[in-house]
Amino acid sequence: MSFFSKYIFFPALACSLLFGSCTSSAKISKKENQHYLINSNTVDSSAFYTILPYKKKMDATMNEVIGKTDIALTKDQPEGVLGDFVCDLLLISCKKYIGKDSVLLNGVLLNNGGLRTSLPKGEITAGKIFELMPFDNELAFVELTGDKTQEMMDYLAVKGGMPVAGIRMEIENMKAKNVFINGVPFDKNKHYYFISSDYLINGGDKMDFFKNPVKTVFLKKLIRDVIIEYCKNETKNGHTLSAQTDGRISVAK
Amino acid sequence: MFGTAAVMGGLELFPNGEALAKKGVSKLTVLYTNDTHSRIDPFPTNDPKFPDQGGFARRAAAIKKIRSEEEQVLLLDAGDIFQGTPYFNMYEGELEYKLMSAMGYDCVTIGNHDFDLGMENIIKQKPYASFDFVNANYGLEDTPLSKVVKPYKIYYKGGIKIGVFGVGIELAGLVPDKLCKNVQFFNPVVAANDIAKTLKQEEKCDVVICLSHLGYKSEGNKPNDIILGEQTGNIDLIIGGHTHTFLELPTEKADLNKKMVHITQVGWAGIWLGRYDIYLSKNNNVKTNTSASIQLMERNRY
Repeated sequence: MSFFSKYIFFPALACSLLFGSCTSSAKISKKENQHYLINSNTVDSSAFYTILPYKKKMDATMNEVIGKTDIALTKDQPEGVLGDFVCDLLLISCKKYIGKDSVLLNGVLLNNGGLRTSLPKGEITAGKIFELMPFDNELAFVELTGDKTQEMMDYLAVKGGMPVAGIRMEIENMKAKNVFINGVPFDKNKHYYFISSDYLINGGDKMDFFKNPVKTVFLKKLIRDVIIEYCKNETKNGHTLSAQTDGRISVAK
Repeated sequence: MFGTAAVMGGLELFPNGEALAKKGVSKLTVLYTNDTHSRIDPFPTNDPKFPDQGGFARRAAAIKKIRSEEEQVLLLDAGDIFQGTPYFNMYEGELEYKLMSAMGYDCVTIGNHDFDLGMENIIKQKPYASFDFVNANYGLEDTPLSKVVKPYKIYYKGGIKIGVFGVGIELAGLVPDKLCKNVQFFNPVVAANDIAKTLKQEEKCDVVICLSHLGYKSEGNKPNDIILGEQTGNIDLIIGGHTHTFLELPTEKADLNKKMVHITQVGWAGIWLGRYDIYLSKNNNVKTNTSASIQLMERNRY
């Protein structure tokens, strides 16, 4: 540890300089403040040996290679290959958790802030997916009115795009236009069904269109677990982990 | 504001407890962390921001060394012990509490991320924690935390009586409702003022310390540590958290009684260990260096 700043304070003196006199409660006569930078090679051996079995087990899990990417998957706006990858795999993988309503599912919406790191080109470990999605966000299935869905599209346009699946739209002057859902032009008189995270549906990132939905079902399934499961399956089937942008959200020319 | 600030290199102004006791002075060493966020291991050596910094086993060694040099040590944390590495995902905070107990933490407050696996998880991990939990502005009567979290705790170190209490940030919008069900939020400034008054005036604590997870700064007019310092009385030290602010020097504010309160915070992830030494005198007769009210001492690695 190194000791890099020290601050010393004499309350009695400062107090008398500033305010004339001190009350009798001023028993503290001197204070010092300093910080240690924790960077030395001195470790407490007892703490080290407490950590060791936890670390070994964790490393074994986290270092497991669960797939391989052929390109780096990174975030971007209005559309990024990482967002496409995650949303597309959720659209495919979630149906089995939704049950009979799964036929209704139209799309997926996440937030850029929720994707915490990129996936590099090459081997992907489970630990990398924990870095991508460290929070224990669960999947939620939500039914929205056409009006609320319109608000979602407007939100996407104002924000300059978010990770989605099942949706195609153009952004013009921060407004949504040419919106297609599952290849069909958006119809304000219809209800739409989306997968998102419990965090967003419960008010995260000010996605107000999720307030008072027609129906919400929390699927009790961690998004991270679904991603890991998908990667393992793809690998088992001899596939690399891949995605490419398809212009689902674009800026109108 | 305080005139000259002198830089003094290597001068030993502060004798240890034994030497002080002979002069009727007692010394308390407060060590503290905040927002350690499950960073059990040091950051990797190639980390762009904090290469090879932090780590619980190193912190334990640093604390042990200080304990070997000082008689009266109080070890505190201002919340967000949980969340941030797979250690938490896999072990749910068990290892964090275990290591902090071994380091001899006396008291912690609860941060918003300590709710991340629900209040039941704090109860589940409690057997690994030999330290106390304080918060004075959450109504916890109808929650699992009611038996575990107290508004304040009083500690005796040598002849010194120290009151420690906690305040926490509004959880709505930060923590999903289901994870903090039935937690009532009360104004932290009002709660802090009440508790500090009780501790100083009724309990006659020599030192009153607030563990705050409000943040150094806040959006809009939400309460933060600066507001807390200015709008309360009877607090000697605010150890803050939440905003991951690295404060090289404590922020000084005049409180409601025009008495100085210090606000400190040591970033996050256990990269810094904070230390605050308080010297108390029974007769208020300690010799002080009269040339300056504040002195800054810079030392490099020792």
